[in-house]
Amino acid sequence: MGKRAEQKLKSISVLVPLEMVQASLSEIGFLMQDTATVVADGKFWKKMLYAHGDETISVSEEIGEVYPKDPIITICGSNKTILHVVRGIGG
Amino acid sequence: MPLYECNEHQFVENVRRLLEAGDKFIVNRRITIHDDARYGPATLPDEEFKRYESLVARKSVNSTVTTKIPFVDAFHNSRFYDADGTVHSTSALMFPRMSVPYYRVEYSVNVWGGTYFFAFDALFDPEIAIEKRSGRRLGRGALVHVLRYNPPKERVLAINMPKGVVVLDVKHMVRVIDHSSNF
Repeated sequence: MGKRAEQKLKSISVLVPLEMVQASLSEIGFLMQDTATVVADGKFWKKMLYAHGDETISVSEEIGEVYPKDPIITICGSNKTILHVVRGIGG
Repeated sequence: MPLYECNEHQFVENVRRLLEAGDKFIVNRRITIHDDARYGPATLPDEEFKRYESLVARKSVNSTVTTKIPFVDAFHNSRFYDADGTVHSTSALMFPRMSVPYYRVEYSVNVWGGTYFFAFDALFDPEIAIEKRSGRRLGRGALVHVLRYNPPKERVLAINMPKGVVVLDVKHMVRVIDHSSNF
């Protein structure tokens, strides 16, 4: 078995549509595992968990007709994954 | 000792900075269940309220919520709701009759005498089914809608940390007040 890449932590908050984030994640094989409705900072959020192997990415997006929408992306994965997501959302 | 509140983005980025600085630290996590009527169908955003729409109706967010059909709330000791009853409102009812249970999740990290924390509430997921139930108001073996609340899975509540970061579950955090700086 090959050596697993060292995992890093990264959180990104960007003004991009959720669809753009999801497209970037599916490109590298991340599948949605679970969702939950959470309340933080007095706002309702949909928290989505994506996983690929032992790497996980959570995406939280505010629920409802609010503007601006800036999903919070939290990555616990390899440098390669972090770089791909950052580039995929225009970073 | 100061307590600093962070949002998810700030908390995770703070942990990342500590990791990059090579600091040794422990992340504490506290998950507690609550059912204190803090959340109910009147205050839920439309997208979340839709999950209850087969049972209850309202005009808009923060409007009074009434039942459309009779149903049983399995989470709250099989509490029975009759049709056309008022079950939740943002104005004062005698008591909030319908409430959504939730987990309170708190993450904290102590660095140089300060505590940095991030907290959120995770609502239980509603599940609506039709079941045979018996009771004083239902009679014997009547078919009735049953509302259940399923707790969200732990993996979606967790902030995943790289290997080397220790996450400890705690029941309660006691703040120690340091008066030594006053002298």
